[in-house]
Amino acid sequence: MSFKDRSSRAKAKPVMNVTPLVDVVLVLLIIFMVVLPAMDEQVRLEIPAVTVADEARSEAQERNVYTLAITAAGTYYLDSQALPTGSLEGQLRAAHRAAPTKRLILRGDRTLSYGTVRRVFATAQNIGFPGVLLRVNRRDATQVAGG
Amino acid sequence: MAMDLGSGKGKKGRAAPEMNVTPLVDVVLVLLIIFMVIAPALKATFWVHVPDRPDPNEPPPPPGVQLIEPIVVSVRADGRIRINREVLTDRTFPTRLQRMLVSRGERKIFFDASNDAPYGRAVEVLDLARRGGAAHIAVLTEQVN
Repeated sequence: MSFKDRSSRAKAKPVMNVTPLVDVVLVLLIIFMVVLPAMDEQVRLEIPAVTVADEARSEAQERNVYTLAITAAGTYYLDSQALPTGSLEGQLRAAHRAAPTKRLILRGDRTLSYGTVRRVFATAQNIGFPGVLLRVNRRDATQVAGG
Repeated sequence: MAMDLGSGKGKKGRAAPEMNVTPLVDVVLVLLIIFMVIAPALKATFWVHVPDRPDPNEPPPPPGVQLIEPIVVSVRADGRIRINREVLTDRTFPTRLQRMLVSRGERKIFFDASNDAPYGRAVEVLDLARRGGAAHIAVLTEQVN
């Protein structure tokens, strides 16, 4: 009874101070928003989408790659460095020799003509890459017409 | 005396105004979680094999051996799909491919597309092929007709 009396007295209700929490969460949110587009790469292009992608690769595997980006305009970027025309094979060969276990990831714009992409495959074959990883977006299977 | 005015007001038994931040926190937390979930999904890949270079010193296969014709999936310039010589639609392609793969007992296909076919369409067909059961997809490095 005495407890009840105590609590019903004009005591202030305890209020949690959420300001630091909000600060931290907002900062995290902003970091994610800023980092997300830059995470893949700086080269902006529209990559194709698939319903059945490969199984997720580990972080270590994700880092052990060379990323070759080809924009719709046909400019090549190897790990975000623009390549001068005609230097693709030489650069890739040097890169493969330096780190033979690294895989090649191709980020191609979806409007590219396949002839350009096939030339990259042929180059990869000449150099000795066992295959090429195509960078894709995931797409929901239910969205596909005629699925 | 602004100071007096201010302190005088504050000293009254009035409650300090408090903003209700709970909805804000809710929204922000949900956004954060959405971003965290989406981040790994952006990293998807699609592996295609590049066949080994043909060895010019390799002897031709003995004449008696019947070679099984490989399955070559190709995309024409207008976007239509072909398996070897047969032209198929997006709808019939996966089931047809599946039947061919089952009858051969191996899940390997070769892929090529016309020079003028868009890369996006080629990837779409690669995806359909994988849905049709092709486990091993190798891209041809010379154009087939």
